[in-house]
Amino acid sequence: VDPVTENANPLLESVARAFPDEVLLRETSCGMEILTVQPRRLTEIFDLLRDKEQVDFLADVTAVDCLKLDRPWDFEVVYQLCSTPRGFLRARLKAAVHGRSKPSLPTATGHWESAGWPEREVMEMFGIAFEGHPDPRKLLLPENFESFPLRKDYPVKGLGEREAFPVLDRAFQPARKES
Amino acid sequence: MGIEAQLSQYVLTSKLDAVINWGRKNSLWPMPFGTACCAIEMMAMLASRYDLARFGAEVIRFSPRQADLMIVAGRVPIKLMPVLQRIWTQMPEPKWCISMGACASTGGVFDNYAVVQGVDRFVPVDAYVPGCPPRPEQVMNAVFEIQKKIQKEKLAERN
Repeated sequence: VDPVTENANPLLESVARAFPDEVLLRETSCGMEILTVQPRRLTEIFDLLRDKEQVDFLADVTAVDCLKLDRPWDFEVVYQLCSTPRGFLRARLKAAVHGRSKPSLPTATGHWESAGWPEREVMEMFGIAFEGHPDPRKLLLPENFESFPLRKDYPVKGLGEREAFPVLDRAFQPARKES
Repeated sequence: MGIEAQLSQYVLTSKLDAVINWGRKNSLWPMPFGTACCAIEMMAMLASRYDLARFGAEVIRFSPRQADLMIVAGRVPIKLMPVLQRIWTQMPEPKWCISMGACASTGGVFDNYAVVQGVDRFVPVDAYVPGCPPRPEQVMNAVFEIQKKIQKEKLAERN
């Protein structure tokens, strides 16, 4: 973990100061500072950001499958945060998730209601459960879809979902001529 | 001594097949199943410049129960396929289907888990229109092909 730097993003700075043991990785990508944290005290980090740092807008929740990345965890759930009273100050927070069989995280819907739909999408696409989500139905996929399509071990052409329909024909068939 | 010899001024005899098929082919009522950019070309075909009304197929019906020609214009994802099948079964016989464009016919460039690779795998298709999207003239040609097909149908072979 890098030492706390000058001119750092004040939102992530505050998280790194308050929860030094939770920080796993601090990096900058394309000019955007990114803080990766452990998931165990995520709710407290959300409390801090919302109540102390005036983060009132969660722009997006998405996830990354680290199967082919050199990372010690399996998934990263990405939170795009924004504080409108502080001049639309933005921050990118990632939560590291371990385990591919039944990974789970606490939901952010208690802090920002806009987490509802993106978390549903992460649930159906990556199979990461959000504990306490008020409406954990699928968002885009059909109800009976069982796989997680955005995982890197899922084939692009699917597992036969696009073939699983009854074949309809006309009620009346033109009589075939005997040849 | 046929009836025409007696009443040639008033009566024209024909075959029942020919009369019914003539009526059917010149009064196709399309059900537009437009899901993507092909639907824009389909609308152009129906509008005044190309004007499918000249060939009797101008009455677009958004209720499948009043339509007899389904035009599948655009890609069909797995979530929409049950809807398409339900609409197809709701259409009364006799009915015909045009698969318009690369996506409806083969899945097009969308070779992934979510897109059905050709609606003809699950519903019967009478005419395929190549193109991405096809020009309105091409879709009109498909309508003409279906008209030719209807004219050749034999009522005795149905049922």
